[in-house]
Amino acid sequence: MTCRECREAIEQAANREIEPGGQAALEAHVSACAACRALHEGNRRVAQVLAAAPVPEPPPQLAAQLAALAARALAAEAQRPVVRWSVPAAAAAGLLFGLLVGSQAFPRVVERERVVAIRPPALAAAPPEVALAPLQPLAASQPPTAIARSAAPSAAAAPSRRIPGERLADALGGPVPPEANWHFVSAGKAPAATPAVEPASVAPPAPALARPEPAAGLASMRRGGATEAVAPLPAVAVDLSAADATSSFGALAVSTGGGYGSGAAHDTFSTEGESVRERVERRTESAVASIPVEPDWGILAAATEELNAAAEPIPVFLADRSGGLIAYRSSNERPLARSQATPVFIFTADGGDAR
Amino acid sequence: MNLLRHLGEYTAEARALHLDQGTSRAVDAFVREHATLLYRLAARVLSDPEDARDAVQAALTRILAWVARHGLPRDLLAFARTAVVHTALEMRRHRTRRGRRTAGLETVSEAPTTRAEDPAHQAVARAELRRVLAAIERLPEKQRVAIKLFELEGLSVKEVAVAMRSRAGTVKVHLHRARMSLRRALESEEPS
Repeated sequence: MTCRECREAIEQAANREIEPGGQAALEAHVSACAACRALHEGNRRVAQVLAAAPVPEPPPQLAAQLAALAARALAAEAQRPVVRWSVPAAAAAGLLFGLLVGSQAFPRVVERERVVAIRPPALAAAPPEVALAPLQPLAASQPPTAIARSAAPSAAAAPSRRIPGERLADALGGPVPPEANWHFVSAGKAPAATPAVEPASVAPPAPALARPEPAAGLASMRRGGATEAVAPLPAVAVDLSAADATSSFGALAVSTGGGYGSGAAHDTFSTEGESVRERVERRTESAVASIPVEPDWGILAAATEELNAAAEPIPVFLADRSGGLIAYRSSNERPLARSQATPVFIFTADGGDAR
Repeated sequence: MNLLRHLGEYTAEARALHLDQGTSRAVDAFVREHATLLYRLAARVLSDPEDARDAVQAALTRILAWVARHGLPRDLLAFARTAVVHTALEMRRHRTRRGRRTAGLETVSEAPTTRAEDPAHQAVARAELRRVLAAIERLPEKQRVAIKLFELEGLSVKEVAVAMRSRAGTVKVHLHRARMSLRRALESEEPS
């Protein structure tokens, strides 16, 4: 037996797992090897010392007490309400059943449509009746009706109308799904609760009756690994003076049920009952009247891809230069919040009026 | 609702099956036979008589809740050892977190039982035992529990592994390292 084998045998002996033959070989080796003998003797000495350790004595009547406890516990278990795990199990089974049946046996009532590709709009080429003019930031003293009229006189009295996909494509400067039934809501449909918009220093004056022309200097945007040249969006300032301004102040807001995102789907947050102003003030710990927003087509495109890949329909809100809506998409007819009170135009693909 | 009711009926039937008279008698006999052993396991982990009793009671409650749902396990003793060891370990950790001192060492080592008749030899053996027990308490938790269950309670490596919900190879490593520390403690001088 080598010293290495002996060490293994010593461990086996200490663990009470050595065979009789191995024990004899171990004894023979340690009688001749001082190092292995020291190790072996050390283990034996530890075991001998611990063999003299006091044994904990249980308190008297422990067995009887535990038996009584067991009897009581078993009786209680027998009388416990029978439904314990069955409730969540039944709920899970029902949910699974519903999912299976709902996804396979029955046709879906509302098909999730593809979010239209968001593109830099060649809005100047829009047909006049589409009236894609944004609301122009005006003085607070100006009444909301005046805002609408001055910003988009042709759309002020225009009713909600259905426009086919190709018209919308013209308006947006890009293709849209032909099957989509897009609805257009003009600025004249804005409710009376339209908040007055303070002119912000960072907001350039918007031209009436038309979107700003795509800038001469095109920004670059990365989408799907490729870099495209896109028109930069003008910087805007979102007015926070309205107490109920709970809308998103980003260029794109994604709502997943109650909350609105800021800027992009990647940076969502829930206002949770707070107004945007309260939210911003809490974050910045200072009073805020307006906040500048830098809309970013790259963010919008990335968010669009994300939305198209989403398993469930997600309402999409596009905030415009004044903090109101410029586009709205939903397949579940989610009502718009009060905060989207300054829509310039609203697109929906659910076949119904957006408002 | 029918599904829910059927599940409830099934559960009730299963429980009635598991908690029949035979099971109750088996549990009663088991508790009376192994109460001392289970208490000692808990006392080895906790080193405190009161805590050990509480741990055994808590473990027994857990065991019975399991039996009520699933019936008697194949090896009730191994099952109970595992439950007691882990309940005791949880109590010890909780006690350590709350800053309570592990008080049992002195209590356990107050009256070492040695068969040596020579008073001088008895004193040396008592000092050695005190030193080794102190070294055990300084061991990492898994080494400490493994060496106690193996050397003090006489469990086999496999039984220790089951009780600690570990593997036999892992337990052997713990035992090896623990013995190494205890050998050093024995070879060292009396700690101050």
